[in-house]
Amino acid sequence: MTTVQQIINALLLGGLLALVALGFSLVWGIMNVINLAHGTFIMLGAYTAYWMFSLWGVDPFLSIPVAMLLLFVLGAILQVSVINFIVRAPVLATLLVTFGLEILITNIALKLWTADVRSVQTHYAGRGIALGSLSIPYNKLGALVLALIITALLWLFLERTKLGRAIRATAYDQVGARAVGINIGRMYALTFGIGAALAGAAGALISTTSAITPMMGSSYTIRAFAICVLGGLGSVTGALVGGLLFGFIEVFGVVWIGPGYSDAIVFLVLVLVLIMRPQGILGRAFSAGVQEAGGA
Amino acid sequence: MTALAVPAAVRRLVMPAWYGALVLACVYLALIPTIGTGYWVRTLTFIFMFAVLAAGWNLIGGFAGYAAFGQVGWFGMGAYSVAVAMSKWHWPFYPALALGTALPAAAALAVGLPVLRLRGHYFAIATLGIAITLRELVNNFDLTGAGSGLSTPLGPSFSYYYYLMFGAMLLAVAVTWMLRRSRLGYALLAIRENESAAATLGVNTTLAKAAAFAISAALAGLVGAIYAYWTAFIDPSTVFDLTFNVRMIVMVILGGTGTILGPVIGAFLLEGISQTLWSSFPAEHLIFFGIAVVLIVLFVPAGLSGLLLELRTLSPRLFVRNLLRYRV
Repeated sequence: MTTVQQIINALLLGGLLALVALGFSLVWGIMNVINLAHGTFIMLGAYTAYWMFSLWGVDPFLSIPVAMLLLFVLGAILQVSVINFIVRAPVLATLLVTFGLEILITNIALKLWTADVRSVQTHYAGRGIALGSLSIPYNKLGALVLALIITALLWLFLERTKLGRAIRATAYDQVGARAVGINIGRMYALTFGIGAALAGAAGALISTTSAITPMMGSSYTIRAFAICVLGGLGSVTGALVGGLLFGFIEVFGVVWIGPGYSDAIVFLVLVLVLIMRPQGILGRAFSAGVQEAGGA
Repeated sequence: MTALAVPAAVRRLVMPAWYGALVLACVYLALIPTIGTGYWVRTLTFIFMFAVLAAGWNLIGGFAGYAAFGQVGWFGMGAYSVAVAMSKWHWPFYPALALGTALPAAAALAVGLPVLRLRGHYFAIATLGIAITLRELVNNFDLTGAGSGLSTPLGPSFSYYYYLMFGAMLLAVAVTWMLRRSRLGYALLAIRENESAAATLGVNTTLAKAAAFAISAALAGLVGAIYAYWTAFIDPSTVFDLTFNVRMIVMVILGGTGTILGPVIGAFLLEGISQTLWSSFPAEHLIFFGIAVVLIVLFVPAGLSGLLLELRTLSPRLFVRNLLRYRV
């Protein structure tokens, strides 16, 4: 493989990973909650696409809205029934509760769908645009384009709509937000719902490019965390930059060091960045979560 | 900590009975291999193992207040040290056990110095990352049998491992007890309450945190080492099982964070329940476990020791109060 092909692969992977991290970054930035169950939402999105494809022949790209809707509802319900009670609790409580949810959801999925590795075989799988010796698979290109569109839509929503501004206001100043009549609990439910919906979209896109299992979630949660740290927390551009950077680290790390070490490479980079630059590479303080990186 | 808050008169009355009960419990546990069934020997060996893991986490998470989320990495490192030393280098068990305890402690000291500068979420995820990195290294090295695992020589008998784990648990309690009364213990509590203030008062916070991290890693490595010899076969997914991290933390919370016996009591309760669920619902027990984790953190965040402190006013309302404490 040529270097150009690897750059293409890194971009294709990075765009998708940006979407993987986007919902995680939103929830972390707005609520200061590390959602360790984020990966299971991605898994559920992937299974939504898988079942819609294998039962009714729906193309996985078309099942994205369905996956997003289902996961928005699940996310909002979880926020109202569980997460709202621990948003302000110490770090450990939120980590434990969200990990408890991750164990719960993963094992329900295992019970329902078994541990079998499944994949969505569309008619265009394995085909792509050929440019000389280079190739760009259709499904990966489609996943990249959709990931970028969804990222842009989230940015517009947060920056340009009243509801988006209300969500950001709850992250900046809770008392102030409450004073102007924003219902914090409802904003959190909305935020967590959107975070889950974004994970659902990412999952549906992942189902077009790789095999899925009920246990696939945790490695994506960890990647989402690393991407947030790399790109800087709680901003849409941070997730995008972090995702792309991450795509390059993973693709070239595997080329230079060897396959099978991708998680280790990621963590080495992550720990180094954390120690040298805890505010991330972009390093702009955005939200509630940032204060805690260095202070008590 | 709990004991200090109970009135002196009550303590004089209750404490001898409490110590008596503890001694009786130890004698009873020591007799289990001769009077109990194989099922109980196995279940209790697991419980002892988790008690040590929980006690180890308690030192860094409970005393120093650093939410380590990757202790299973040290457990796996201890397990693989024994497996490699015994199967590849043909060491006898006890030197291998020493290696399995010392290596994670040294690694934790080396890694801890930079990583313990992080706080909160960042420390938690960095430690999780260390555990995942260790698993991946083991998964790739030929020396560690890569993904297919390693066998260790067959050992004497199941009661032998039972007593090893039992001894490890007593050791972990003794270490906690001594630490609680030492300068280091007070330094850790000061760090938990206010790290900057502790540093201002002359506590060498870096050294204290790294020492606590290394001791907790040594305890995790110790039981990992015994576990490897006990099961006679290990592979990366069992000894680097990430749910172990959560298990040990929930045990500490359930028993009482920062207490001496809390982690052990939590281990008996949670692992007892887990093993019972596992034997009757092998496929679904993790679903129940996930629910239990969420419910414990929501309703009993201060654990049994917290309930003990509020014994006089104990009512269902306490649980509702716990639940609503941090509500948005």
